[in-house]
Amino acid sequence: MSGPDLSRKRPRPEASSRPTTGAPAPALTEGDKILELIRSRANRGIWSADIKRETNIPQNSVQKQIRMLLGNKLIKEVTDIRYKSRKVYMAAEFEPSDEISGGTWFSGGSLNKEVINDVRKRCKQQIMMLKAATSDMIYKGMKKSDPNIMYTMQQIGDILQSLVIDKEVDEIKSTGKGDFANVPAGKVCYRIVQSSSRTQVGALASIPCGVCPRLRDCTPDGEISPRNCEYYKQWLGAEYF
Amino acid sequence: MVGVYGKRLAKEIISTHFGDLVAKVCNCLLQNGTLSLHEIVRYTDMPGSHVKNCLLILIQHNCVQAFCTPRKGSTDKTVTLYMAIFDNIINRMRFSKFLSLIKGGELAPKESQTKEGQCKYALLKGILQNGRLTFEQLVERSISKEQQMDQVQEKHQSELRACFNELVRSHYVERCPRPEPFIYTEPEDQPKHTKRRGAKTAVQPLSLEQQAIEAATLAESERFSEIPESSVERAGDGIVNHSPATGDKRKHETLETDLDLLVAIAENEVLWRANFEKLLYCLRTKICAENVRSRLGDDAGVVLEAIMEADTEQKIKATIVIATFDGILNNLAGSMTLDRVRTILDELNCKSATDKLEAIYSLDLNATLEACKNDEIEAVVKARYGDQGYKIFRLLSTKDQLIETDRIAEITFMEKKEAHQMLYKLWRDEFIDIKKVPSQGSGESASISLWRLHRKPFYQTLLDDIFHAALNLTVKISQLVEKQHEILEDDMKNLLKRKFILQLSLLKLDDALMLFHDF
Repeated sequence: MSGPDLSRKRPRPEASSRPTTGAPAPALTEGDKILELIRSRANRGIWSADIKRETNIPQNSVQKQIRMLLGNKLIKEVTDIRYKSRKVYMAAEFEPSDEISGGTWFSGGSLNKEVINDVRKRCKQQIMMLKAATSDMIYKGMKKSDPNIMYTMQQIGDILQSLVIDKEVDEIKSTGKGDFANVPAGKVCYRIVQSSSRTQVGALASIPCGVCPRLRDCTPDGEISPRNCEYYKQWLGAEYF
Repeated sequence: MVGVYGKRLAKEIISTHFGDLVAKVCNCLLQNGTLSLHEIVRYTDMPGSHVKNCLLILIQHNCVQAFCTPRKGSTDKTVTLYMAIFDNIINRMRFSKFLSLIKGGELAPKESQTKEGQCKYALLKGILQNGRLTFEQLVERSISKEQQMDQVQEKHQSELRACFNELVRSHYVERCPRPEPFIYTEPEDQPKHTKRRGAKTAVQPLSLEQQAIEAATLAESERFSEIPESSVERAGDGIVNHSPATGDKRKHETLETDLDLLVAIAENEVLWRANFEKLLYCLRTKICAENVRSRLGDDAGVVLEAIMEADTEQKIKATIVIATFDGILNNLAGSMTLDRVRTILDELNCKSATDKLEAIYSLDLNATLEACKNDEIEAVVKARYGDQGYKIFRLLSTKDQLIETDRIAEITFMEKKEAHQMLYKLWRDEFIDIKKVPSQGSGESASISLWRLHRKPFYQTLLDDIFHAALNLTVKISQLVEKQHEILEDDMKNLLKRKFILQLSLLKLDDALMLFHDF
């Protein structure tokens, strides 16, 4: 005899762990959304306020999710040199771009003075050896003495510019003779500035009036005058006035 | 154009040297321009005789020039006008510097002092102190100082004349300009012809004051014409005319009389004064040589001095200096090899040319003068704004172009916010200029700030500050001089020490004044 097996209860629908084809995917969690957004910004990173705006997730949730992602080491916090007060987040697998980090001369959001001073010293050593040298000659000299240095010509150019500004080095056109014998005439090159040139004290700067913030208000017979000037008293000795 | 503080400084100098009355008259001319005697009396509210005496003192000391012009509304009557010569008043602060230019003089180191140098020093000192003197007055002054006995006066006078002529030959001393030249002025109803037909540019007419100075100035040959020797002295020197015939002898005696007359006029009537243009040129040479020495070494400084001394024109405002190679070598007196000299001339960016088979070098002093000015300005910026302000200013000064804030922060290795703050401070105090350009692709209100140093307006502001500081130092020195009469002898040494500091500071500040005003 064939018929339904009435001894059995109505079969329960089986709970399937795999979604069947055609069924909608379950929604991304907030954490996933935020992680995807951060990853999409690659080495530029994203500001926390921008995360909130683009995901429409409430502030408290954003902060909670970021804490979890940081704890799981999926993202990291970096300093944007342009906007130091902002919290910027980046996926752990990326390194900050030069725009964010400030480039070679910045470390942890601050100027790496040790590195800068080291490169300045090396540049000056090259110039002293050659007496007068172009930026190209200086760069090649530095590479020769230390093949491990990773700076570009542009970066060496920036350092040379800072040496010119600080009056440690002169930027001049070569005459092709004397100290400039190694540099073709007319080419821009660099030479060490004599120490006597650097230590000149200006005439106006060496008297109180030269640095006085009230000079424009001062008159011989006025309330502020050289006769009763406090800066002169300090400069010359107060006991006479 | 002289600012308020320049005029006040000039008034203070005249007051210190000649008293308040003379300063009042001088100030009247400085504030109101060229005036007649009647107008000065009206402005100063002083009696006519006092004003006249004050004007005489100012003219004697080359601080005022008189000239005649036709009286307004009249064709045959003239009026005498008086104009203050601001530069000559300021030159009064520099007498000690002028005297230090005399080689072998009293301000030279003891071991290098010479009898001739001391003689020239004394002559120039006499002229500077008295404004203008005849040669006879200089001799009398010298004799009374040295208490020469009668029998050696003649020899002494001859030595003095030789030293004096050396000063004239070197252009340190000149014959005084014409006392009251006549300046013809066009009637006011006639249109002034400032533009020639076909000329591309308008010819700028000279101001009345410039015309007066030009008309008063003697021709070069007359200005530096030396005092000739008398016939007696020429005979004593062995310059004898062996003329046998009677007619020739009479002619010779006539010529001798004429010569003696010329000598008498030159010694007793011609007034001599210091030639400030030459003296300032020498000071400019010193300052430029010092700057070049500090940048390029001692040899370069020596060669620059040699070039400037070999220039035959020696005009104070000329920035191109031209000298022959032989002239330069003469001044170097064999202290360097030819190759070394040529190398340094190249380093100084001298241009060479040939004129009538002679090598000529021309040097543009602009770069050196700009370097001197930059040193002065950068020192002020560093003292007022610290290292950061200094770096930014140096960058804008060396680049001489518009630069964006971010780029400035990059090159100077500064935080962007700090760079921005410092730029605004420098801009607020009128050291630099700003230009805002709209930022592409951003909102309406966004813009990029570009920065630049504009030298000309900035130099004028700085010059006013230098005049102001010099005035303050002068006032302070006067205050200490007043105190000298009040304090005890024990404190005198300290007071004099402080007065000396102020005087030295004023001399140093005057170098900056010359850079921005006179050179």
